[in-house]
Amino acid sequence: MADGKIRTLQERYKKINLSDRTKWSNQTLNFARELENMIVLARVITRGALARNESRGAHYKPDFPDRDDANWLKTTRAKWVSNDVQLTYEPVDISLIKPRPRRYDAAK
Amino acid sequence: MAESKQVIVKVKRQAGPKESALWEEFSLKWRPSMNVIICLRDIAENPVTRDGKKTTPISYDSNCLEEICGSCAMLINGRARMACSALVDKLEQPIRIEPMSKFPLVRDLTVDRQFMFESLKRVKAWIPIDGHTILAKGRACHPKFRKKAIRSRTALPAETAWRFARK
Repeated sequence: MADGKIRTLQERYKKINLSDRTKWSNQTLNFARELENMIVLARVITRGALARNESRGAHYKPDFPDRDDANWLKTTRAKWVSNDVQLTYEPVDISLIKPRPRRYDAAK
Repeated sequence: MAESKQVIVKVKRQAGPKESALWEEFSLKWRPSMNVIICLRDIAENPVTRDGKKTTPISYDSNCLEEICGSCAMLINGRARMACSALVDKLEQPIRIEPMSKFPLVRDLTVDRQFMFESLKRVKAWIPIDGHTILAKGRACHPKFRKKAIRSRTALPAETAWRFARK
């Protein structure tokens, strides 16, 4: 599973090495520090996508090629709880604009 | 088996503003549509010079990587240009990369461009399309009539427009 792979990277990050150990303008150190948070965010994105069994916008799943407004018209919220991703959902405000399918194959 | 195509890059390196400069040569594997930024990233991935000496990744600035921001400007084969749009296939090899000479050097290819930004601020070299003031179109208003305008319903836009007209 993709999340497991990223978790392996997270474990490996604990033993990260620096190819530059100088003290002046060290961009390697800068990047190494950013990387830790990038891995966390990668897990959030992956877990959110794994849970969302539909296709919507740029999120495409071959097993679920259609948009599923009945179950998935909601915003994913993720919380980082004890080194893991916790997903909750928030309803979308559709009081002003009613949801309609986005068709790119047909003219408006 | 034919040897894969190589790209030879020479980088002028300087560990800090007070250190002395030296040239390092790198031999990289050629890739399609390779630019100078990709060369620098490949060096960072495996910071070893052409003669097998271990070194540090090259310090450089970059941002948009699509020839807009100018952050990655450096001297490439003696000419100041952006590294993101400098395609390896169109450059003469070995590619010589140096920091821009008119700015104080920080390290390797990173330079301090603060004085340029200060100059831009001084001449206000931008178009105010966004900001904390209301930029909506309002009637330009001469100070003679200003008091009247402020009292009227269009007070705020009129005043804002006048402030901008004066600038």
